[in-house]
Amino acid sequence: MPTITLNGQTQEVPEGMSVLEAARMAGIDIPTLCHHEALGAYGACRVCVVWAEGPGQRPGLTAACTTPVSNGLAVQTESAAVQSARRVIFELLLGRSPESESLRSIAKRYGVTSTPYGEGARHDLCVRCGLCVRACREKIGTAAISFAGRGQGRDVSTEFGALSELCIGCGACAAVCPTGMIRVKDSGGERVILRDDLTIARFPLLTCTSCRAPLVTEKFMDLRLQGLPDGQSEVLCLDCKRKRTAATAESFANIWS
Amino acid sequence: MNKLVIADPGKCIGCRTCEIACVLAHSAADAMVRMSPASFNPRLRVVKTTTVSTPVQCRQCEDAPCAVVCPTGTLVLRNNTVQVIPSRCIGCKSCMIACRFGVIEVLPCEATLSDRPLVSGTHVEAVKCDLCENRANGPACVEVCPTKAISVIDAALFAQAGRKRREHAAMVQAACSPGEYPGQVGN
Repeated sequence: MPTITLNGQTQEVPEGMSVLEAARMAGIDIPTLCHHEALGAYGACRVCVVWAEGPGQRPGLTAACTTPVSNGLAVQTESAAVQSARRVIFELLLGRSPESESLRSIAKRYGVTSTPYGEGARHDLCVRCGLCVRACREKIGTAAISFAGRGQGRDVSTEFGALSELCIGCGACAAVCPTGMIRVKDSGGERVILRDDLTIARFPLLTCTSCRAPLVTEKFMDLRLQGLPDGQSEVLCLDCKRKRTAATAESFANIWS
Repeated sequence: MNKLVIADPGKCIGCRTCEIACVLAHSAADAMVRMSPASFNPRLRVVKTTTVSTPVQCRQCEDAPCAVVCPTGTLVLRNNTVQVIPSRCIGCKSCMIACRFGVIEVLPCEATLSDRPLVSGTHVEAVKCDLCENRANGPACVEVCPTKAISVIDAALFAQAGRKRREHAAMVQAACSPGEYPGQVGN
């Protein structure tokens, strides 16, 4: 196992771990916006910036999430250079998304409450962390959304900005979005998935077979429940399932009485 | 063999004490002060119909469909129970649809943002009965139920129940005349 030094403390860490994971294991606080345990390392937001040096690592600032641990690596997470770089990164992100509450709250924790950047630039809630894009592609396996455009015009988008034919309407993109840029709206038996002003997809919802409450999309049932044996997937809402469970509870309890 | 919390509907009086104990067992110490209808999300729910009243909670299925459909490995088998690793949840709700008992929910978790020192993207997580894994005295619902309707069933109790039923079946059969078969076994 490689030995690394975190803020002066020497530590043995498992091979293949990132500096971010090693630091968190040691209880060291490193902020992140684009990191998610279920998704691959990405290095988009840069707020996990640290100073690293060692054999094979040129001394300098690097993103902790994409830097693997190696024997003899020395990492500083709170040096003056790291703090000042992190401040600038937060200022740049705030210049892009000044209205984002979650971004403002995490920036504030690191002492950044205003930004000299972003005047006259495009503002929206999206911090381009790519969590939605990665969750959709890596875990749901549909790649309904992706980044399109360049520079200030870089946006999360569907194919040609049209209604996505690939989206299955699961809403994982909205669930992982740290700023609320992506939303799922269910109303009138219909589900709409929105990125700001762009409609990603629109679905009629299948209704609960018992109480008729709108529940889930047909594509979701087809694609996400494939792993279950035949006949084990059903469109039944939580309440109706619980009622059925309660109705069968009597006989189930008899087994041990 | 997994262990599970199960309730006897014959003893349940529908008081919902178990629901409150569940929420408190899974909350920070100041939960009573901060509690709101939106944050009151017990992992077991008392269901009351015209014919039955009983708390309903995770059965800790051996072949857990929730874990089968989860794309991120959020649901894992640990200590003979199905457990959630919340930081892995991406909120796709596959588990919710797959569960036959209606006892796993994907819920917005403000706690994730405020309690963690780190902001990750996680706003929601899968929530289900964890048999109070981190509680010294075991499941809080079992402890507080005023009618002792809730209990934990483990492999040993399963085996014991099986043995009793076989003994019962044997007695019934022994009581039959030669050539006659018991109409109902194990009643």
